[in-house]
Amino acid sequence: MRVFQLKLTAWIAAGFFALMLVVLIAFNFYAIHRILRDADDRMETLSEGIMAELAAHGTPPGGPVSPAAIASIDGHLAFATRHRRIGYAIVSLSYEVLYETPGFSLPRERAFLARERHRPFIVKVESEGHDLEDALSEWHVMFRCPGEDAIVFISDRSEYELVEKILEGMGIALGLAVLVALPLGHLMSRKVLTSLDAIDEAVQRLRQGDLSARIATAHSQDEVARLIEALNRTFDSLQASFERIQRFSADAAHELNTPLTALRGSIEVCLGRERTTAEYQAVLTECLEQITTLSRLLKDLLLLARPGTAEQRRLMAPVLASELVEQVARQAQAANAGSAARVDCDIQPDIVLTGSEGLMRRLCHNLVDNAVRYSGKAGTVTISLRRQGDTAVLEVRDQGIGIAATDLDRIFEPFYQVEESRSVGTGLGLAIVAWIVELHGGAITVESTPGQGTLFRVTLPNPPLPSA
Amino acid sequence: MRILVVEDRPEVARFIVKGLREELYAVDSATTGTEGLSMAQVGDYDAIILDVMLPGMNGFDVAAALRQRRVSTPILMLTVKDRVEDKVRGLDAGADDYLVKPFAFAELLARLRALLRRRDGQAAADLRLADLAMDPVSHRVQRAGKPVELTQREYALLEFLMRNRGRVCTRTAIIEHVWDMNFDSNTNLVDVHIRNLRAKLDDAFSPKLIHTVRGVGYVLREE
Repeated sequence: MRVFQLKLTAWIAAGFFALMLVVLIAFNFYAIHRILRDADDRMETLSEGIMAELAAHGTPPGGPVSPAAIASIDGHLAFATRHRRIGYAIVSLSYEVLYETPGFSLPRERAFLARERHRPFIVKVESEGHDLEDALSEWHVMFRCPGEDAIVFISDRSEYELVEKILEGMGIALGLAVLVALPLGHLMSRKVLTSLDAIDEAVQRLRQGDLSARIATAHSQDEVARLIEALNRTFDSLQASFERIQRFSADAAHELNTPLTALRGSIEVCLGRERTTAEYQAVLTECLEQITTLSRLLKDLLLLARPGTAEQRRLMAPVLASELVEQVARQAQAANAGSAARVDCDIQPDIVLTGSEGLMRRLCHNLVDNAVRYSGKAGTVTISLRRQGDTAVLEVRDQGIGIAATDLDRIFEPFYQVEESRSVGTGLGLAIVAWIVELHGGAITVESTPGQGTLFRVTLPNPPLPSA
Repeated sequence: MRILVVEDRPEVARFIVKGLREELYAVDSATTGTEGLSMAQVGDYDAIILDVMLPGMNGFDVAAALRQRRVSTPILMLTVKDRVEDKVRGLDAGADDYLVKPFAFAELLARLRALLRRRDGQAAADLRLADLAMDPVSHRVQRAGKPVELTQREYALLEFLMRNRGRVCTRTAIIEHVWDMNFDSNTNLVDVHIRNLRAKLDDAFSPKLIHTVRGVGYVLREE
């Protein structure tokens, strides 16, 4: 974590510094450009003045400049520039230096003297300590003005001072940028890492089994806050499903416990003394019943605990639902031949659904079986399957005891059993139905009037019939 | 000894009732909490075996309601809930003991005997009076060191008198604690069994232990 903070600090600081550098360079470039342009205008005027004075004094081309001409030029300059520190040189057209302000040493190279520029430029002057003013830098802003008789180089040191000050300011600003960048980087990395620390802490607590651990949220809308929110939501659903599983396994343990208790107890009591063969047979039959209950319960539990919804969906294939529902209805009728409940069917032919045939049969069977079981002596169970838009609707209606409104919300919960149905069935039938419906992307609703009957309605997606 | 079993799952209730009857207890059973509560209040039971997960009214509530109504019958609670807080809750509600399902039937019987012993304020496991000794675990009875063979009903009758030795037991009390609810108490079956018991225990021995209290009932004492 510390290493990461160091890296982050360095990156932020470097980024900030680079940004400052770009801004300062852009600003300075612009400022210097402006200064030189102003200098351009001013020095052009001055050099034209020098040219005019030269012309007025009739200085011959190539000859030395007369002291009178220098005096009048200096007078003119002193008037025009007041406090500015101006140096100038007059160079013949053949590049011989005719005059230099004392202390101002123009570079003598031909290449320099012959340059074509008519613009101010910055030039480094090799000085020997006898400059115009020693304290000044050896850099000059210089202007070359070619005339008809001579070329005038004019240098304004005051302009350069400005440039120098700007450059100096830039140096200071960059120094400050470094000083600001480091603490800034540190602060920002801390802010980011505070969120990371919070995430880390929550994850640690989760790993230690505290499922209620959540990451403290900051009141902002940035990516980290969004990430934290998403993580917290994930933890919420994880906790919910974990608690659901816990409840489910506690309930499952309880349900498994009853037949086990009965088995163990019956056998222990039976072995307590010598018995007749008939008695042993009775106990064994009873034990067999308990074992049947146990294995049915286990099978249901395994079905519900089967992982991989995606895998289940991958194995789905077209199922001829009309035929399947009819078969289940016929079986229910046959299995309940003893009871007086009638099973009526109203099934549209040729409805094909996509799904798992085994699971769909199970869904149908559980609903019909429940309906027949709670129908009482003379009720009628009505099973209907029909197409409705792009869905198929399966309805199972009975005229049985019905379900109280308080129980309706909970009947799809595993092991939830209404009073009247306790000790009949495993308590998983409707939970399995709900799970299968969900797996197939459908929906299930239930309507019931106590004493009059119950209607389960399953809506399953029904892709349009392929044209034959 | 008459026991009330309150258990909603028929497969569990069936073997408990059967096992207890074979151990010479008189057993009644109830399948809901409310039924159990009213039976425990009306009948004179020596102990109650109470399941926790009951429809209507759970075992905790039944136990609490009984204690609130000053019914002090020992309660043995049966449950699948084996968490400490459940046991604490059960015992605090008024249960005297707690047994987690699935349990060994022998343990249920031992705990039941312990409850009855504690109720009688008795420390030793076997019951003694003069030279008469009976062992509630093996159901063996001895008089003056010689084994006495008793029928199941005779044993149950002797155990009841023994647990109440020194106290006069009315015929109705004997009927209630030794026979099941379904028994018709108008017959003179108590007298018949007492006569048989006397023939086996008292006739060949001295002093006589079973005494008739005219117009009231019977008492077991040395004098």
